[in-house]
Amino acid sequence: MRGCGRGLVVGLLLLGTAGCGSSELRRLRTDLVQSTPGLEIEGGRTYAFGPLTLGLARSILRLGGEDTRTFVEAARSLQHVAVATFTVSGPDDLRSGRSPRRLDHYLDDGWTTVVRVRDQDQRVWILTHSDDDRVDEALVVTLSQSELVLVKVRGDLAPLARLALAESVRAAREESLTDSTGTPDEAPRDAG
Amino acid sequence: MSTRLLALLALLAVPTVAAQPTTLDVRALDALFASEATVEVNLKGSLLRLIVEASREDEPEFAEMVSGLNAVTVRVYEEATALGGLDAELDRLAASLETNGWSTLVRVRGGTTDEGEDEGDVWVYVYDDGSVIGGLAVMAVDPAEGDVSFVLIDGVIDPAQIGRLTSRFGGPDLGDATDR
Repeated sequence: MRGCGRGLVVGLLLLGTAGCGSSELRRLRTDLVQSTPGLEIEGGRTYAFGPLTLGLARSILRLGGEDTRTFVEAARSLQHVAVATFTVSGPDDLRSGRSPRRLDHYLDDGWTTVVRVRDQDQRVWILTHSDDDRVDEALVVTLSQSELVLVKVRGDLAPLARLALAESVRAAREESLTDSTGTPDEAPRDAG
Repeated sequence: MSTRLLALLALLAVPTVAAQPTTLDVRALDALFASEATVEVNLKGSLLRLIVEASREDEPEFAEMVSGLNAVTVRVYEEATALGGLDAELDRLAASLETNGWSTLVRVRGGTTDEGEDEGDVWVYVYDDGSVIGGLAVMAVDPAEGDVSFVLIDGVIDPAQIGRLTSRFGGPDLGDATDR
């Protein structure tokens, strides 16, 4: 019963914010479609969280498991989060598309391209903006042949970066163990 | 030695003193391969400081290494090994590094595996200013994937830390080798 109520609150929260989706991300989506021949959007959702809704979301998510609580703690310092996910039907080869022009506007505004991947089945852009010598905004765009995900966050990104680094180190160790043993399941649990 | 290991080794390199050796012009690489890189990574300035801040608690040794880093640049070009005259161009890039004071740390000329596969070429260059290593550059050709990769580190490198960290991140312990 308690779990049902929690789900209801989360659902209401998501429904309540769905209409406040970031217009910026929608513009980026439109630009990406125009710059990628054969890409079609089949459906999706956009959410935007400001300080008030972020606080409410944190309060609810704190009731979750250990992993959720870790994420909530890491997200404490964020001021704004916009997330958009779309189901897409993409071309067989995503390399043929050009970079969205919208991203050039970011670069003109002082943003920096940190990561750019142009692969056959995936395209990724990670841009950051710095103010006062601190990274204060990040934009992540990932496009596969089945999904488009856009994320824009503003605030103190260090706690989230710590979480991401810990995850990447864990993944690197697992990959290394997989390479050396052939099967991840056979890897010693305390190795690395 | 795999190109992945070498790339990891390069990414774990540590600067403690600002150094500005003349290195490869990454913009010229796009022109060389007549295309954008399929993978492009640019870490510098405030972003490196963010990484230091984020890793200080859980990975203090890593944070210490990165704290003096000026820049890390990665470029990977796909289907690049078919480029005509690639070997000559890479030799020219290697020669330009040597002209600008870089020294060869590792040079692997691709042999052939028992299965008859080309193992690819690897160049690892360091910038040695006499007391410390002031930068590291890796060029790697992977014939199996058709990729050509470049990793450039701007900063002072501590070979002992490279060995410890490659071991810590799942690679072999290169401490003995780097101590030599």
